[in-house]
Amino acid sequence: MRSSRPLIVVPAWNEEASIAKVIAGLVENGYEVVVVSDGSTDSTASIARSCGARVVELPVNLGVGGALRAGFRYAVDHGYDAVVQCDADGQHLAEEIAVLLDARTRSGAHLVIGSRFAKNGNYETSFFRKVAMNILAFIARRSTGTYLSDVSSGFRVISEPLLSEFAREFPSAYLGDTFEAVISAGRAGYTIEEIPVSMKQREHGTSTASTLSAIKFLVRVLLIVLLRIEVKIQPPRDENANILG
Amino acid sequence: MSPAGTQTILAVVAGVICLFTAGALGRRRQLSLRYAAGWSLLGLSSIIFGCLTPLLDEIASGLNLSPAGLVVIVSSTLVLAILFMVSVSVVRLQRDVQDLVEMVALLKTKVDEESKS
Repeated sequence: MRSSRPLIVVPAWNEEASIAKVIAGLVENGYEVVVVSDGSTDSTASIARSCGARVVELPVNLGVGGALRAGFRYAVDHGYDAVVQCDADGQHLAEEIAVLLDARTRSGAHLVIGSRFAKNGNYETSFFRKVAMNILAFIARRSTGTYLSDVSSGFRVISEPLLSEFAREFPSAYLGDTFEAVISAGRAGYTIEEIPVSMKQREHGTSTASTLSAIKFLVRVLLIVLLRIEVKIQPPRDENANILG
Repeated sequence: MSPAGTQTILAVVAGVICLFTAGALGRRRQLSLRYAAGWSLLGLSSIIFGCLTPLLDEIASGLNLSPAGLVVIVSSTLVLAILFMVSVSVVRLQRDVQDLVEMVALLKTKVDEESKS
């Protein structure tokens, strides 16, 4: 049976310092949470379990894309019709999930992205990273025909039938889970919407926003763009079509 | 011994080692048939070019290359072809491992959930 409530999917790799606070915020707001521990070698999984989250423990580290696909598969297997993808480092605010879900209800979009840069966005990042993000956004806009400012945001709602498609085939390479997933969905004909959200700077762990990593990010973005890396997903079936016709 | 003689001996020895290793690993199933075939081809070409120096000279001059240049181009092309095959196999294996890891984790979660309920 399909559940009309969304499942919050939190991919986590060695996030024992922040995971308890993140789950507490989500549970307080009444959400069902699954944490996908991505080969964590610390106490991430046990802390998440003790905080009331369900836990999928990957025995080896697959990267964010692999962890997310496991979360999507879990959601589809358990009959959820939407997931909210949320980071484990405390950057995404639980209160903002309602904003994303409202946008999904209002527009019926298959993919709703919480943007750090659209009008009210208050996220600060380095120059090189901003350049790379603008390149990604420009290409995503051309590919999907939708205004997008933050395709590398990991704060999103994914709804059926796109959820089942992503559970089957989800890009797991670098930037695959964000940029590639967005342009693949857009090119296949799924509807995408972006809304502004507030985000915090991460409280624990290592940020990837240093100048060196930002330059590496930019180089990788250019490579991905030049190679036109893209996973093929099935287009949505016409939901209004007569099943007999 | 002349430089050409030393060159011939080294090329033949390298070719025989390559051929013998590919054959031995293939027989023990430590190397799949297609990789064994690729390495054997590399070994054979080394032996042929090593033994038939006049043939090598003739082909090289026909292609407007030095004999050494021709050997480098042929052998690096074969090595690159094998490397591409290995890269493709690694990517396929990576995908298979990812699928298996996800399935194992989901099955374990399912078993844990059912044993609790």
